[in-house]
Amino acid sequence: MHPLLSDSRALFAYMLAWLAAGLAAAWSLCFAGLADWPGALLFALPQSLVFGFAALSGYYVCRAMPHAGRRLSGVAMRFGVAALLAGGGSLAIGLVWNDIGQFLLPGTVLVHLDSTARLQWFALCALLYLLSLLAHDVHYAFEREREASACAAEMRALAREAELQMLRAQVDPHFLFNSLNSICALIGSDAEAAREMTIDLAEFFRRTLALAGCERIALGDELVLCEHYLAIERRRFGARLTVAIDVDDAARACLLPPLCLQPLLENAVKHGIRPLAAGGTVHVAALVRDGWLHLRVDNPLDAAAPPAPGTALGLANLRERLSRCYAGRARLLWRREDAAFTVEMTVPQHKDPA
Amino acid sequence: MTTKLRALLADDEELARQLLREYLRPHADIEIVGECDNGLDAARDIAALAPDLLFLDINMPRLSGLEVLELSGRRHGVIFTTAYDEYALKAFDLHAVDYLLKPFSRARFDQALSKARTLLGRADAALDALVADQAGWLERVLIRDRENIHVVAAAQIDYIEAQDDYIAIHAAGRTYLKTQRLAEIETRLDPGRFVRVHRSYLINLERLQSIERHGKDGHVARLADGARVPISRAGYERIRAVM
Repeated sequence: MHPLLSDSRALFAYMLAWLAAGLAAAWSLCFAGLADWPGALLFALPQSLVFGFAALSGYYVCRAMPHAGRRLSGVAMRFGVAALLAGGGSLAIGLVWNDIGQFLLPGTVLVHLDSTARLQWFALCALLYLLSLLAHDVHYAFEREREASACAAEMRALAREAELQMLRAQVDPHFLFNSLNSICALIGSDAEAAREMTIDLAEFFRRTLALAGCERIALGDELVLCEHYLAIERRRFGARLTVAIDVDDAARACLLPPLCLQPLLENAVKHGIRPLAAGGTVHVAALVRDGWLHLRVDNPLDAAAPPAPGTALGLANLRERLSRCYAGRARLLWRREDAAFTVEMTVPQHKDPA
Repeated sequence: MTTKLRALLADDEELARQLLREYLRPHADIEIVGECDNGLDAARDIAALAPDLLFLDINMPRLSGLEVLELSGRRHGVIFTTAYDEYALKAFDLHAVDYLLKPFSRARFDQALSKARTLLGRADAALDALVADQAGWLERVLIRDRENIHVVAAAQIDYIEAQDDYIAIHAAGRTYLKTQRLAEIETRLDPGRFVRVHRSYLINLERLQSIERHGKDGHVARLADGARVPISRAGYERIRAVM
């Protein structure tokens, strides 16, 4: 929500300022001989309040464009279009208000709006809206900066605290012991495969351990870790598990809190593919658009199976973690359709400065 | 000439079954008569093949190892295997039931096997206690009718009706008959979700649509599938207590 809307005193002061602006507008209308005082006041004051309220919408226009990954041309175009729309809207409201005045008080005309005056009114409103957008943008930049530093401090504390917990959770004993059992079986029949599986297992754990204390990891690096994990699972589940990864280079370069993706894949394999006699394909897709990273994991599942216990809790935990890391600007949605489970994650695009 | 012992392997991972096969190879008197990769098939094959020995993974898709035992009524010649299952293992230790922890050595395997050999064909009371003692409320109900096995999620059940010496489970537009007493299944279902509204009826609150007046001071429950179920006076008190 707009910060002014939750602070009634600030909102009051803000509207008072717009009333003053309305007075100034009424004075200039009188001065230009377009209206008498009562007509000018009736015309300008209500509209200044409406406009002041409408100008708050600039906050949302700015928020929709994260500062990272902006291009000047894109910003100029959006701000320009928004300002022109605001100017046009205000002129329309002015004309309608004039007509309403005429209808309510027959024989009087609030303001004589000739074509020059219309153009000036339009330009004034567009300009004011543009100013509001710029002010909001500056405010937004400060707000982001403040949030980022608060978030960074919280992140450091959380990273330390979560480190142990995360590692403990990652070393899923079921996964570890079953993998060791598979290696045990392979030693008797296919020593080379046993060796490869041992190396995958070692790489997976080594990379997981390397994440301790790490606040951000490139999606590409997380995918490498996931490849080792999936290589192990493919040996355990054989042809039943296939994986399709569709992630372009721009998405691979994005930074994320570590181990966002791996648990999603683990869920997909454990609760989706494993109970299916025929197996299935886990899809991973990621792309960058307009400064946001969109990541999606979907998998088939047994339509008759009850929801796997703990999945919703795990996802809710991940949602909370993302929310903390991105100060509420991340989204995690999941849905279960008949025989499919989909998780979608959207976070602001952060790139490695290096 | 002695007949061979017949063994059934149940584990959803091919490599785990491969290891069992390898460990069984030196035991020339044991013949593997079947392999299954999920609990439903295991329960079916136990009934069809009546193996002397059953190697049963506790954590399998569709039905867990314990559910396989519950459904098949199998109480002898079972050798459990598991990678890790905190809750199940506590219960196993409590009832002194043996199990193989993956990965296990050939020596450990042979030891479990020779112990099982001495008990061949004899029902194990510890297994009875283990199956009866499953922790938590039922999330799904298992129903066997001849060669078919149905797994009905508790959430799908509309209501359960007592009929003579069996119960009729109404779920997802179908009716399943199961030989069990209503009071028995009532104790296994979450009392926060299932309420005994009548001597012969147990309803799922999540599927309850409305309670309607019926006659002078009687009530009936209307369920999501459109069925109307009588509510006794005591049942009405019970349903008010949980809602």
